[in-house]
Amino acid sequence: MALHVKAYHPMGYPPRIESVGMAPRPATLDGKTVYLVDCRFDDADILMEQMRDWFAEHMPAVRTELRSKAGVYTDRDPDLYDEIRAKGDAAIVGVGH
Amino acid sequence: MRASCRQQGMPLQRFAFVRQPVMGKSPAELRAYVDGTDAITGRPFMNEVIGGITRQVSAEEAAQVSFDRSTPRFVEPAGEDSLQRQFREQGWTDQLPIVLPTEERVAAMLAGTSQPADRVVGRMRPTGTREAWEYTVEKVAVNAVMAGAEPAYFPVILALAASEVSARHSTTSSAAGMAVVNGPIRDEIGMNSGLGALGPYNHANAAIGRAYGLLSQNLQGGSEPQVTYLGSQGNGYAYGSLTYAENEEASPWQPFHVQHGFAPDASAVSLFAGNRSTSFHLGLRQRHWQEHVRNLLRGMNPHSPPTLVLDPIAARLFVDRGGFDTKEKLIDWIYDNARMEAQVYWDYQLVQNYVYPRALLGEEPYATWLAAADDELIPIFPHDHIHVVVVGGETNGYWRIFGNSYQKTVSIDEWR
Repeated sequence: MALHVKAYHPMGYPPRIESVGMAPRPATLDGKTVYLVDCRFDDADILMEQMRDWFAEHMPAVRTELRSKAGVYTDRDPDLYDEIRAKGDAAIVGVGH
Repeated sequence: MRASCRQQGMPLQRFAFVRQPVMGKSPAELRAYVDGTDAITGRPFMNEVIGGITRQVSAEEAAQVSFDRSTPRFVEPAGEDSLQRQFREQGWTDQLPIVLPTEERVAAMLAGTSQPADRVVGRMRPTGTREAWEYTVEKVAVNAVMAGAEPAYFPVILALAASEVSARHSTTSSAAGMAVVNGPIRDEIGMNSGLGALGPYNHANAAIGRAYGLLSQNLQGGSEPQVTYLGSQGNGYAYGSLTYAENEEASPWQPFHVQHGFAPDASAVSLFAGNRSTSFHLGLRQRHWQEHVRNLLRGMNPHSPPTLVLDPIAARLFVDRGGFDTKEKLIDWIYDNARMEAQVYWDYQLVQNYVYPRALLGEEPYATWLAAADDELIPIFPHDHIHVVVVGGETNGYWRIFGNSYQKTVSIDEWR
């Protein structure tokens, strides 16, 4: 074999990435509605319930809406996302991995 | 997490992390997680959450931009030892030495097919939540060379790539692939369907299986621990991806590919994903064989349906004991006899994660099973998720059940 070997690169071709700009943030959550979304991974629903309770105790001016996403955690739930856009000010999404 | 969001166009997405595991913890324990610190930053968890929501977005975070990523055709020329090290350190190998994909070797591999080098073969991804990468015949040839494959094997390897079923699926459950080859190509390239077929005793089985793994990890954009691979324990089956030929000649039944719509003289490969669990058994005793098989089935995870992999001796025993003169009759029996109480079934964690949400949406048969009384015996596995393959050298009547998920059967002949 030659002293310097010319070898092919083994990796495939990645797709182009279209970056999604992040939404503007509220300066405060007082009087705002925050959705807590359980993605149905392991026992995330119980964890999200604890976060709901934390808001009730520590930030009672925040309204929380706890929802379990339809379908398994890898599926999109467009109806829920539409509801959050229409009625929510922010969302905390509990994802497994 | 960061890598997944980046490829979804959200490279600066904000996170906060509780400790693992969440699964199985009591409400009080999970409340302690919420009251505690972020597992990554060490700062109060809820401070991180609130900050992520209320901290104003920077110009960089608000920007909507697009950018290309590319893969060069060649790596920088270097000495053989240096390239071997580079390939290993880049995560392009299975940590063992590979055959360097030189121009001469890749050209020889490409001679194993009539297809043009620039034909797009398919797209593959490590999980459903990540982006699919694209690859050509040439890119598949590169990985086939690396695995030590012969050009004669290349149509099988191209078919595996064209299936778009990854052998390096990223799941915390540490899955591996399985590939079963049927048809005349088995003999043409010397694949083993007999003694030791699933082990390291045949070059075609071994090289094709290794190629399946390498092409999966490289053509899908990696199988990098913590980024594109999260298998907590890993899986030894992933070295060779359980690649073998069905023993059609010694089987009492129709070949697997014929069951799935191919002609007997066609060559095809069938893909099974999610191989984790294996149970084994010897023979079928006259008095209690049915109870023994039920015990095996009850021991499986309900989210990992059974593929019975039978030595020809065991296959003939199923014919003799149960009168199963077709695979379909054996599958009917497995379906009818793999049962458990509904309340037990629905309490399995993987059933909660993956089946329960689908039942809530009305998907059958799960919706019907969800409506069952707690103590009603319901099927553990959907009928069409149960499969049978015959392989082995008839040294004894051993057989196994692999827990896995059949994906598809694809043509090899298309890639000759």
